[in-house]
Amino acid sequence: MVLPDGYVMLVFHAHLPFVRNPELNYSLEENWLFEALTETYIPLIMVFERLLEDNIDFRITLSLTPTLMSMLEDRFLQKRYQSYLSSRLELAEKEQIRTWGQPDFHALVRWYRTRLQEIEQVYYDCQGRILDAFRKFNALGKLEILTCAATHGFLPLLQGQPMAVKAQVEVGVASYRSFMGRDPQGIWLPECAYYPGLEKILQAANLRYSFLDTAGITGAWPRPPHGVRTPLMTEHQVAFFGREEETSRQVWCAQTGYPGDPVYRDFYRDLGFDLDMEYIGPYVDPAGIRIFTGFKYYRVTGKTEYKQPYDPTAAQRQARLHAEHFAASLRAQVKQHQGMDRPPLIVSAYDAELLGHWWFEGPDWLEYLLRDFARNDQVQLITGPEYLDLYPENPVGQPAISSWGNQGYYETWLNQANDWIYPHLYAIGEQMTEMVRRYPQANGIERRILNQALRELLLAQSSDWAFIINNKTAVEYAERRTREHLYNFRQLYLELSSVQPEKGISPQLEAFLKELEAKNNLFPELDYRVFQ
Amino acid sequence: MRSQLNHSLELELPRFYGINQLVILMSHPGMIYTFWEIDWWKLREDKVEEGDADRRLHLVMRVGSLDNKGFNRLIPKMELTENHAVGSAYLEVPPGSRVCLELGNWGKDGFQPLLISNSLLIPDGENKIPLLIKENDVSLGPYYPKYVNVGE
Repeated sequence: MVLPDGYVMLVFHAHLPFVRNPELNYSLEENWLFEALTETYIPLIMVFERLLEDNIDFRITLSLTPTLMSMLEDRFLQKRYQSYLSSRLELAEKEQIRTWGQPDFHALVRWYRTRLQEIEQVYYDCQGRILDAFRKFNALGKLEILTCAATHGFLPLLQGQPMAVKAQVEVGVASYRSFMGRDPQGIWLPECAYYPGLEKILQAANLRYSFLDTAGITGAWPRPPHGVRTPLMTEHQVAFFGREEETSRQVWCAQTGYPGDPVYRDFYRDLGFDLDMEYIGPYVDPAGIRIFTGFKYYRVTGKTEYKQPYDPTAAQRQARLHAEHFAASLRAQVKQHQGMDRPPLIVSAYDAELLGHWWFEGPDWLEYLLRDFARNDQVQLITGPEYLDLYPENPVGQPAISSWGNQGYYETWLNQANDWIYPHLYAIGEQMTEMVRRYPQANGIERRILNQALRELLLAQSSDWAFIINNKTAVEYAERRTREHLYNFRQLYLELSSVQPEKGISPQLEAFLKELEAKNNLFPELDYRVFQ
Repeated sequence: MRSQLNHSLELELPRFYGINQLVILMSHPGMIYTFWEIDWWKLREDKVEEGDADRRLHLVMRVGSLDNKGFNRLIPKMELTENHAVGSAYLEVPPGSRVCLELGNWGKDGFQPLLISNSLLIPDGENKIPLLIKENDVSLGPYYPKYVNVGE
């Protein structure tokens, strides 16, 4: 067997917090999912389909979090997305008329319209079940799909309550099993956050590998001889792959990264903010709040208010050049690390939504990159299980405390803006433990209450809320969601003591419980006893 | 019971949960966040039940490092009054140690621990290689920042 010069693992972490508001006619935050579908998830599927048609072999690692999978499989959200797509196509029709006589923009509108029609076709072909498409590529061996913690809880900040970490991991694994029909081999740790001892819980859940930020490996003890060029095996037989920094910077960095190139589409200039409310009103928040519509007509151009019209053909050309540059950089990097007992490994990990949503041309870049790898056998794409099967012997050590947040530790998720969350999370965790002890074999209404209480607890633990509060973005929404789930748990906890199954429950409690079960309906097979 | 669908920030959360808890979390090397809840009334009752006629409590919290010799007090004790039945604080701790917190009564026989927190390994921070990417340096960042200007 001829070995390549090196291996590359491309990892994309796809995650959105659970947002589902059937009680509202319109929900601003549901658009997070719809935009990600339109700009990232479906375009990625289109890339994979084209590669398959052209018989291009590829390997991608993709984490699909349990909250995201739950939303992708939800019939209510699927229908809402159909409406979202229809309204975007309607706007494209209107824009064709409005831009008549403006050749640059008119051609661009027609391009957007064709693109939206293609996206709609993919959506209809899989009958709204986008997860089916990911399952297909998983079955073909092209896509290694990872699980994640149930609701993306920040595990190091839950470690004082080990049953909370265990529940996040075990529910994440069970959710994956129910969606994918098999057990996951790997897990993406929310925010790449690690604390010593976590590997024991991962091992107990039969997880074979995970990923850490660079410092989690380079700061390990003993220090692995080749740093992130090999995975680190722990004494609990869970392997950790380390993220490589240079390639991350190449793609992420505002100053020197690819997405800031002048020919790429400008993210911020959008019709939702540029046109009169009288015209754009039906396509933004009905409350009159301007939002992004996805119709963006300008390129980055430069650090100036003046923006030039976007040219998709020129942007694609640049994406191809950037893909060639990235592939060449990887080849040069692996050459620098020869002399090991095996070819060096480079793990490049990104948020999936970077491709398409933030960096519009990202999926094109990925397609060109994968085609480049297929033409050139110096560097071989690989997944975690393939690597571990090929190289079962790896340096053993204790990873270092780390995350991929600011400064590499935990302060993004624990600081004076968001620390108020944690006393509540730990208190309801205590109460959940107490309820599990009191009701070891609950049935009927008591079981429903206990299961919903655990759903609310898990949702309150999402790292997204603390992150958003820290970032000062949708703060009011994140605080409200945290409070709602804490409040819902509290009500269920208080009501449980008064339930007498033989006498039934009050109409108010039944209504409240039904309302919660209908709205926060993820993890239908949840068993509250996982929290012990 | 208020419907959770009432989209208000005013959903009341309890200040007291009626539990005893003492938890520490690390923010970054050298800094921990602690929060606690203690039931003074029950502590007093327990004290009397144990035969101590003096109902007064003199609660103190101390941070210590754990090693094979046991608990070593690291920072001066913090006195708690009944106003501090629920509270939180940031405390500096030495990097490169395993720390925990004890909350107890300082009586005539010395310190009697009542609550002991979880313990945490605090990294020394020296292994940390300088990050090439800082949050503010990231062009695109995670998903939500686009809503910054919504409504303005």
